[in-house]
Amino acid sequence: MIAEIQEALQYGFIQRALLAGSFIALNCSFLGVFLVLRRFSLIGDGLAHVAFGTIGLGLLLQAHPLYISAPLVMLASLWISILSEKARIHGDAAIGLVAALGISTGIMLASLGQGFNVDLFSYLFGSILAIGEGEVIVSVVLSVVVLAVVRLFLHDLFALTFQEEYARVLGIKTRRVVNVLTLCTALTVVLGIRVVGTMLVSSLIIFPAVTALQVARSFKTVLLIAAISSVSSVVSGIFISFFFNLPTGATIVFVNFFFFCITYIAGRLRGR
Amino acid sequence: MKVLEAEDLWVRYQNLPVLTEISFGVEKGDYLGIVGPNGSGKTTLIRCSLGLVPPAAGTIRLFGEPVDRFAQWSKVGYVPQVAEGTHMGFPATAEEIVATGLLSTKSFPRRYKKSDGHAVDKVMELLDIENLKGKMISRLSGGQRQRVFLARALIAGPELLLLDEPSAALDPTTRERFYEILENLNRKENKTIIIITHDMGTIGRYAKKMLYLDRKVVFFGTFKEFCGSQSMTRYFGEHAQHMICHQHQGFTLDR
Repeated sequence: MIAEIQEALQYGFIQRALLAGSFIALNCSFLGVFLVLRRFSLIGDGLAHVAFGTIGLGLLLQAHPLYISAPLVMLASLWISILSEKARIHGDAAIGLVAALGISTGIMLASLGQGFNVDLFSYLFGSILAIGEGEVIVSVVLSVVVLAVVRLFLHDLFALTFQEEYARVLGIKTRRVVNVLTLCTALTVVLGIRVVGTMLVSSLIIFPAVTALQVARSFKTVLLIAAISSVSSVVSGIFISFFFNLPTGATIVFVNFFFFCITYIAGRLRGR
Repeated sequence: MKVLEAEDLWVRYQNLPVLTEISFGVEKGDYLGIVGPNGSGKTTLIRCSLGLVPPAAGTIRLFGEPVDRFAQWSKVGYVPQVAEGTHMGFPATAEEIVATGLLSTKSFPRRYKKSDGHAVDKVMELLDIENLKGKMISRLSGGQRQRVFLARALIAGPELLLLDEPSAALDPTTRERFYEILENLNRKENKTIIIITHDMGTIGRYAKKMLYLDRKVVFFGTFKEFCGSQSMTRYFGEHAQHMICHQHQGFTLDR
């Protein structure tokens, strides 16, 4: 087994997938904890749907789909925030609305630019093993930026997630911090599409947080357990899918589910 | 300079007036009890004082500054009303929650220092809850959680404390202890205290002033003025007024 892993590590595409995948997984885990606790985790799913549309646009314009997607999905994320704040639309409805528009845009563009349908659909389920060198560098750099931003706002985010109004009385500009969280999520979702695809990217955000919440008793340990389970799911998912010739995105989701089952049982046993 | 001052304040909720023509001022060192029936706008008044609810008309000032421009939040400690079950399963220890009270003293990027840990220990000791430090906030009883929130409000050493029905979840013994702590803070450290309560009997023994609210100010003044007021006798009836005043004038429960 160890020899096989060593052999796999020789391949450039495995190295690239592991490097980019781990950083993206780390981002997803931290953001996921805040999003899940704020009951806003489906924003990942909604933004992924938007990304489906913007990827279509990128393919039509023959530009790199992810580079077109990043700014547009970030704008869409702010639009969701504005809709849910100003237009008297609840958060879930705002997400559903923007997501539907995103998918519709994707389908429209696909029918306009006949011929790239195959490409568009490859983004549905991700292709981390096909990630290029340039994309790895962009993914790692953007991930480090998101991690740094989360670190800078960590305590603000914690206070806000626990009691938003109280955070305001602490002098925290809550709307600004929420926007930062939303923008970081948008960027992470676009990066995550490479790993598991638009259909599954929300799982990268939701699973690690929910896994950690089964057993953690402090906020520090939630972040720690979420990070560990997220990175190990992506790393072992990549190896397993390589050895058994399985789709990588779906394998990562199953490993995540496996970790969730373990902490769920551990949590129940300890709770007795 | 008044610590808190409202001038002809109006607050509307979906176009219905919740508070009308509210004017009053709180001086440094005051201990004000806000009382009134359910739905009388007590919580709205506190939230408006903190800039959480915008006024429809009039002004409200904190330490002389209109609340929407107020920035010295470390001067203010707030204990919000917390419904049971709000924090179901939230993964934070009491210690982590108490420490957030220090964030008002910090500017971006907010970070904790080593000495902040000592401050957490000290305030939790003061409130007799050092044994709860590592406990999960969602596993505490209502009364324990209330004291954790008081510790969070006190940790930055605020000059003004606003408490929204803090004694609701407390058993009688803990409630007495809670009021004693507040009284000490008011007497010894000259902290200004504003407290919403249904517990009119108990608050009469501690607070210096009373604001009786029913969407407008029905009464604002000292307890002595309240007890001697003919118009309040007419408003409440002799019996109810007597109940409040009798307890205020030295009637104490066995402690």
